[in-house]
Amino acid sequence: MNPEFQRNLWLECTQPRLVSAFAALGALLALVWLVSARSFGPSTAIAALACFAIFTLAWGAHLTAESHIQELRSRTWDQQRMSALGPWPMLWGKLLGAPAAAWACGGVCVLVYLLSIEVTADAGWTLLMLAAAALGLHAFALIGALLLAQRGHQAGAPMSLRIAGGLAALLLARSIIDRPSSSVRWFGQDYPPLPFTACLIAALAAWLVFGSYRLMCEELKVRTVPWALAGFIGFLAALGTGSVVSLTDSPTLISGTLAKTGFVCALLAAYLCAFVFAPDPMLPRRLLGYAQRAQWRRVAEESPLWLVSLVYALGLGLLLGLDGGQSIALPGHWSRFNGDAGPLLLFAARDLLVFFGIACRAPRRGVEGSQLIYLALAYWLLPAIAHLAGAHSLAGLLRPQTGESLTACAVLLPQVIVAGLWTRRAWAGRMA
Amino acid sequence: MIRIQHLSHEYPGVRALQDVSVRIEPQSITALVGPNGAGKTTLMRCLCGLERPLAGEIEVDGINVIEEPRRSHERIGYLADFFGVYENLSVAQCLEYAAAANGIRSGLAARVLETATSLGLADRLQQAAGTLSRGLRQRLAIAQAIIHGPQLLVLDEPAAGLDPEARHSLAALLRHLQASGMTLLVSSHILAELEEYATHMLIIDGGRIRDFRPLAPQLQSTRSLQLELAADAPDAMRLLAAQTGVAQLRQQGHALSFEFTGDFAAQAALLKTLVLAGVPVSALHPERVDLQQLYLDTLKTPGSPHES
Repeated sequence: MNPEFQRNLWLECTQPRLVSAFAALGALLALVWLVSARSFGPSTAIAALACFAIFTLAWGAHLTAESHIQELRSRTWDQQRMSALGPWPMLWGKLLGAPAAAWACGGVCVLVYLLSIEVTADAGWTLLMLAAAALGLHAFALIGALLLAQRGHQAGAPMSLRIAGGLAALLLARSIIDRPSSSVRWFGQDYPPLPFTACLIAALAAWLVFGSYRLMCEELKVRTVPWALAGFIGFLAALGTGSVVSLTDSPTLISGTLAKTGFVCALLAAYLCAFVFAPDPMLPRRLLGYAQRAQWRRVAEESPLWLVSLVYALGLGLLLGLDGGQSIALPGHWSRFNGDAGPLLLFAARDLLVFFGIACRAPRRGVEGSQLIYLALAYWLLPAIAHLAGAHSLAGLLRPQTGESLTACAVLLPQVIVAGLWTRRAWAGRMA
Repeated sequence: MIRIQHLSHEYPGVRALQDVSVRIEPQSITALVGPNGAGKTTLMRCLCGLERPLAGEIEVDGINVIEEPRRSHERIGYLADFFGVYENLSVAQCLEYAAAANGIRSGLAARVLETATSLGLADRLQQAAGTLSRGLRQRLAIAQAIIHGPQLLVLDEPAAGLDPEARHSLAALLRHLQASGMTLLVSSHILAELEEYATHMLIIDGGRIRDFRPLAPQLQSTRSLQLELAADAPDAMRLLAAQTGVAQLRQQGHALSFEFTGDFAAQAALLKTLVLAGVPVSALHPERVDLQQLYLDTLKTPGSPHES
């Protein structure tokens, strides 16, 4: 047996915990069964699904994160990092072992659900969706806990990760509860909503598991090049593109939309990574050292993911620039996202430089808050004040419109240079 | 066993290690000493592949730790300065997990018992780790670190917080591990106790190695010896000075101290010569090294860092 799985079972599946969890679950389901005229039916089916969400999804995610956080607090994580366990055994040992009690409760819920419904293919898809959602959520919780290891266990989970997780959970709940009754159209093909949603959630869960694997690699000092991020951006781009274009559309439109969606995803990923991963002021010196020694693979391995995402965005932006722009205008209600890549890239470069500068200056625990305040000032408060004061041209300088590409670039380029100089100074101050 | 070359490590604003180069021989116990913030823990964590240095090379038993940290872990056992144990697991479960996680698949129970016995934990196997005393926890943590039979054991402040009896027992344990073929690197602030077990002393200060010297007489080419006389012997000084390998002779009462170059056979021959010449020898033994003084002198001495 996987030693990490075994250890988690020893620690997490204690008799008192199992007894109390099964007692609570049994009481809830028995109550619903009693008020449903002592029969299994729609009420018990809904109750079973709700209990699955509470016990397996929510409690399981809590157990997964808490188990690893406990490792950090009780200072046993270094012992694990020094063990011979590879990232995969370590990951699945934690991912399945820590929430084992929650999965056991989930098994009971599934049993009650199957007793309450007429078993059809839809039931199978629903169960797949629930299991994938639970696994994905547990992986997400583990990612949060692993990020704590980088930030120091005294810190809390990154606020941005909590926000992203909350939004993802809302979207997930919406896709499960508010299922479209008609078919889902993707790349011009119609798919039944339940299998489509189930497959989508399973794919997302697989990406989350893979993401936690890569983070585990980082913790265990297993060297990897950041191709997985490109894969995830490509997956999101394909997902988005499929909802707006059809396979019968022109190849230029399909590829252009794919590039444009990928570009937006890469930019969003850059911002998210800049928030989520603890900034390392030592990084420029380390990367410079590798570059001086021509260790390019090392540069790729240790580059922060926000920088890697920005490089991907730059590549896709160049592709979009080469492609023209008119031919890849997004159709339908997506057209409001039309805009040139140049200004968006400059916005991102400016913001990410400022983020790094803040990371060099601010105390460790205040970095994320300061970054969020900067964003609020730069994109909302200062332009709004300028508008209200009637200084519309100043507002345009503060937040240029991306539609007017050349003007926006001309305004943003000096801002990027100033941000770069300020960041360099902040970094030098930190390193002194 | 350990080869470190031009190792540098930085934290923002702090140069934790500066161009550290050292070579540590197998089956030795090296005491890593230095003031707080000298870089001891950073050096140990880099050695274990837990920190990524800015520059330099580290090899443990021929494996490049920076390039292949996971492979090097098979050969290294590490006990951090602030270590933890799984408080809710029994001692046996803690050891079973450590063994399995380090790749031991067969004979798990036997290995657990063997390790527990060698560390005096055999009668505590069913006790919860959280209920052990500080000294026993230390033993459990060391047992977890050595259960896979690493060639190198790195211990960061293992004696911190231990009572004198537990410290003495720890010293005996370290000597036992060395005798079983292990190489040990031990950081400590308690210099007086290093003499009990250390064969070498590595002094680090400000991220640089200030001194690296053998402590055990059998490892030194030149040893400080002390000859004790039972009575006055006016010719003893002259006779001793005329012997091969004797230098820096000084007398204090009935004690003659000198530096001696030669192996133990030469030392026995010297003693025989003195006795046959009628010198009233009551004892000949290595001169006690005051590590505390040696350490303080080294730190006070300005100059270039040690080159190894």
